[in-house]
Amino acid sequence: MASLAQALGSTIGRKYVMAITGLIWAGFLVSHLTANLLLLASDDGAAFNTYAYSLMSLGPLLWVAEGFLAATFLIHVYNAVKITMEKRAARTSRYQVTANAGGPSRKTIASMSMIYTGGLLFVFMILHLKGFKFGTEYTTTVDGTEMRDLYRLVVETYQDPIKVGVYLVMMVVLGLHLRHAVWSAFQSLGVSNQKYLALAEKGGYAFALLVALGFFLIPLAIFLGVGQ
Amino acid sequence: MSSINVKLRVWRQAGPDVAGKLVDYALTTDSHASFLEMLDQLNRELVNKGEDAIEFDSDCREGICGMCGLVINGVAHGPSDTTTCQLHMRSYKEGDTIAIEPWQATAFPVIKDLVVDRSSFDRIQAAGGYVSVGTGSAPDANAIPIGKAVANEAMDYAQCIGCGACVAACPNASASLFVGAKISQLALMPQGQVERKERALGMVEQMDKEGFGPCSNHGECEAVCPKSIPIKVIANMKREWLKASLT
Ligand code: HEM
Ligand code: FES
Repeated sequence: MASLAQALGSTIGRKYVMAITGLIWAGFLVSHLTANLLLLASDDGAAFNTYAYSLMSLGPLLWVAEGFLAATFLIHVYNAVKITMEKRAARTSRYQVTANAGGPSRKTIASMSMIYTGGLLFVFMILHLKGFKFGTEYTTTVDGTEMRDLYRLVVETYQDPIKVGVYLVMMVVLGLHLRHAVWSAFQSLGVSNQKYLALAEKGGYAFALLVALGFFLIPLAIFLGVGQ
Repeated sequence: MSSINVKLRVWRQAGPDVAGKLVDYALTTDSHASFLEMLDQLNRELVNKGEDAIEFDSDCREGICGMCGLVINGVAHGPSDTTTCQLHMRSYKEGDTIAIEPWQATAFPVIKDLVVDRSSFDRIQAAGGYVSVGTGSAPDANAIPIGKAVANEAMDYAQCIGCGACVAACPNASASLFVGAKISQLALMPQGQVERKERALGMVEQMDKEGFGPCSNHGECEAVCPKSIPIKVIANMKREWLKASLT
């Protein structure tokens, strides 16, 4: 039996870690997107704010969840950098002519740009947290309970066409990352049953499209005043 | 017989530690010539002119030994269905430009021109790609019963000739397809069970030590493999490695 550190530092161990942390984040995106759909409820944000309030009133439990997400994110980023360094070291003399072999190859713009789409997502995450989680603290009262008015902050933010534009571009970037990431994670985890893997491949592409499109449409709807 | 004019751009590198570059040659050859015969012909012309011949590897020239291997216009083994030696000039049109490069990977250092040192594959193989059973004389056929489906699958993986095209084609220069094929093949066979765990751990460790890159699941390896070995073997390798690491 190899030591844990050895195992996690091997090229295969790293990919297990990448896949697990990535899938955790893909799962988080689904819950995030579902909650964001409440923004379109045409209720002046009552449902959205109430949901956010219920999360915030979890107290220490929320900190644990946030800590867990932050840790998995940083571990994902750390291994992304390591993998990128290892693959660059593995070919220092580059080809003069490159091409795609076609056929069963899965090499795409998405698969070749994971570190760049990931890097952009990293920067975006910081801005996103700064703008909302650590953004202006408006308050509102829903059914007699005073709570943070995150809805107002979101709606105000997405009146700015530049912020909407940046967000939309970033969701294309997210879609590209997920396009290769989701099926790839199952392959990295060792799913060798070809029926399941084919399912993961189709499902992964659909997931990437649906999640990116979902996130894409919400600020666009707010900007255009749909569902307000 | 019909002749064909091609523009060749060939990687010339005098030795392991010097920089290489693409050098242009014009050649009139025969469309029935194999790709390697075409290079033989170019070499004859170069030698006649008193220039250095282009070094390249080949042995069987019938697609079974794995010695030949060139990156042709950015694709390992070029448009061949199998190996470079099975490619013919009829695959090209009059006036085509053909760039020819060696396998490029830190773990496959260039020795000269198009010849690379693939002994890293031998060291991976030596780190577990075998079964330690007394061989003696050949055993009776069917003495060890193995189901047809399993035998077929193992045979599919056993077709790997270790040419290294998977590494050459991989954007990460990963050897995962090669190592996956070896581990998968032996894991299916009763003879492979005794050393199953040590094999998975040993071969993966050696693969990393040799400086091959991690697998990012681009799948270019499967597309260029002359024996069509699928990336399923990489998933198999991961499971074998995980099982061996956990127990
Ligand atoms: C919403 C956030 C993110 C999600 C849902 C996500 C998801 C994933 C998943 C599922 C994989 C597949 C792992 C595998 O092939 O086994 C992956 C790969 C990758 N991720 Fe992320 N990721 C996210 C953010 C990031 C960030 C911030 C970076 C930072 C640089 C990053 C860099 C990478 C890289 C480089 C790979 C490919 C690794 C390789 O070449 O094998 N990701 N991601
Ligand atoms: S020379 Fe043996 S496979 Fe091409």
